[in-house]
Amino acid sequence: MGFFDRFLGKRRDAFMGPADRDWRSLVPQEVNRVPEDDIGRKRAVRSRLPLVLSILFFVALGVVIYLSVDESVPVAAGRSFRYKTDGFLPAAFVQKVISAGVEGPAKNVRAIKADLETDNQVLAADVRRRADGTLEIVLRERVAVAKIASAPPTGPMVVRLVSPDGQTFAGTGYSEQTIRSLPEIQDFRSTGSGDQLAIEGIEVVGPFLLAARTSYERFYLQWASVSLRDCFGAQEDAPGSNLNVTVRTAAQPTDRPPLVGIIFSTANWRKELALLPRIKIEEYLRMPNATAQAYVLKLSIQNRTISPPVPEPRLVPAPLR
Amino acid sequence: MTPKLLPSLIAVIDIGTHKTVSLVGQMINGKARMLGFSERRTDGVVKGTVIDLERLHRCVHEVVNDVERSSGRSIEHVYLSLSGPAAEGERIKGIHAIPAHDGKVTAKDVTDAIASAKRLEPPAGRATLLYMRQPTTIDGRAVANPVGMAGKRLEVHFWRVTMEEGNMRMRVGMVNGMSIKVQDFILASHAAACATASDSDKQGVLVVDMGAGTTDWILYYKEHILCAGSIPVGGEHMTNDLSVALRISRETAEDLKLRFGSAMHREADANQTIWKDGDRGLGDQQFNRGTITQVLSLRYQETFEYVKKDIIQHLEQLFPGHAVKLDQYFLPAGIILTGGSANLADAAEAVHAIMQLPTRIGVPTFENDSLRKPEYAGVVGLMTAAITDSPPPVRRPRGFLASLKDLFRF
Repeated sequence: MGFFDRFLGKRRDAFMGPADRDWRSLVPQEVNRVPEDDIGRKRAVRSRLPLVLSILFFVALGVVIYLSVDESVPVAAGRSFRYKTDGFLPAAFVQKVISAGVEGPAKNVRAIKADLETDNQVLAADVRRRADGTLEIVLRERVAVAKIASAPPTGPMVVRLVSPDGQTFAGTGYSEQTIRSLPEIQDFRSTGSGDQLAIEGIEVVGPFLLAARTSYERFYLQWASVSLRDCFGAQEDAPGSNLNVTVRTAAQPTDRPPLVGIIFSTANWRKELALLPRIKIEEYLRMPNATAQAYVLKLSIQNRTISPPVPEPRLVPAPLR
Repeated sequence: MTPKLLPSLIAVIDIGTHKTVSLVGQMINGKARMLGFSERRTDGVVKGTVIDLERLHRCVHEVVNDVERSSGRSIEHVYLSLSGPAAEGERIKGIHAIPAHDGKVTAKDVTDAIASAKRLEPPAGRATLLYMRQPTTIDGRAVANPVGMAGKRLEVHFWRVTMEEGNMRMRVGMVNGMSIKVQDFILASHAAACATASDSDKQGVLVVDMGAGTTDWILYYKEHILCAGSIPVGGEHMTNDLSVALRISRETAEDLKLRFGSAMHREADANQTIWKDGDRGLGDQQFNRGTITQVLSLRYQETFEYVKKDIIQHLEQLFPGHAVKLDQYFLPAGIILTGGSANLADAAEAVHAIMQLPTRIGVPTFENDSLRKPEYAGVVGLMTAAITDSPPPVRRPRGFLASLKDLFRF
């Protein structure tokens, strides 16, 4: 019975006519939520228990989600972690990163992620806390397309790997064989050192090597080095700007003159790479008039006064060294 | 877009003299599907009259608790059965004069006639529990639907069931004390008829629900209720008679009634001697079976003579000046006998002999085999009648939280 009915409606103690004699009018049926006796209490508990359990379930779920999502909560010390990478970094590296730092193993998810991403080899780190308190770490690593010989401020020369975006890194987890198979970038100008090393012309040679590694791996694996001596960096359309690739000769047949180099123009390297599989180099090198000691494949005519270069592959004798 | 409707939950409670039964079901496509069932021996009721409300409350509450557990649902509304002499019926009519300009009955005329019928006061101190529709007439002609028909005088008739107000408050209050609301009352005899009689039977049939404490009857004619009544005599009286006649306890008498009783006395019964326990050892008693069947058949005969007399009295009130005869022309479907006492051997033959009408035992038609017994006709019929006469309000689709609650139900 509503407020207005109670105070302004018909008075229940007065006989209002035959319609009032209907049992519904006589008994308003206002029931208690919980019956008074034992059985009633049991029934009330049984009927409300599902609701209470539902609420508890949601609360527990909320707590689990909060703990999983909140990156500021410290990771439980000594807990194991699940690790996955698309590259070469070993689990020991991750373990070392987790344990390192002032906080040690008590650091939180956000700090672990930041520490992992300070290494140039790591492109992105996804660090999550699982419901059982363990960590789940998924790394995306930078792809190494080349290597450079770097001189640190002190100590001997070291080999560092180069990613297509120009980041250099130590190559933790890479096998010696893999490192050896990468072409070396030579004759480059650089600024900075270590992880901060910036290679001039990487914006051209990086995508070039990535495209070669992805789509023309057969040729890419034969390349020993790429010289940036004639690469003018950002001015890649400049006439005469080229990428001078040195081809490994050790694996080439000895019954013909070796191909020692391939010269790509920086302005036209995509078309030239596409052209490369269609050139019958082996056939040309075995022609009777191929009498030079070694040959270089020039893929375009590069005129220092005319731009752009004109694609016209040709084998020219390699200059004597 | 029409929202998807969900099956309505229907809970019924039949409080009898001998047992209290509750049934919970769902209404799916207009048919009942059982979800839970519970039965207990009634405590606090004698011959259909409540003598100890507290004991009855506990008994009914235990039944409700059991049926909630078996069905896995919480009951919030129930349909209650009405039986025994406490519920009295009477015929009321509302008269409406059809306006003369076209003489056609409109829906409003019917509404006015119904309102005029329901304006009639019930007897002093009594509350109206339900109205059951009887034939509508136009100028004395019975019609199924008067709307659009021509005439001068429209009459609508109802069978009104009333109960002493205090008794009604006690029943509703008892159920409310269990945090359950009464959805509606249903006449027990009408419920029994819904479970056992078909629509074609209702062209003319007498349904007698013979329980432990009361015998409720209802008479249908031309598919409508003509009259209904109850006499405070039932199976327990037979047990009592047997107990007195044989000087044995009521429990022994009940046992003998069920094992050797019959509603008809035959000469051959007098030659049979029966033993109480059967081992013929020390303490075992022997009885003459003829005595048992004679006592039972006499009570059966007396009960149905009361029923016959009650029906005739009602019919004389309904049709004053007409000599109404209970024969096969008036009741082509004869008598349907149901209720716990219908299980007595030769019950149908005995009633046929007394009433001179074809008689059959009414077994409820229901999906569950265990409830296809005459004693459950009342409770099964309550559910059927609830769906037919007073369907529960359609439930709205359950929300996400309610669905989640169901996951944890046990």
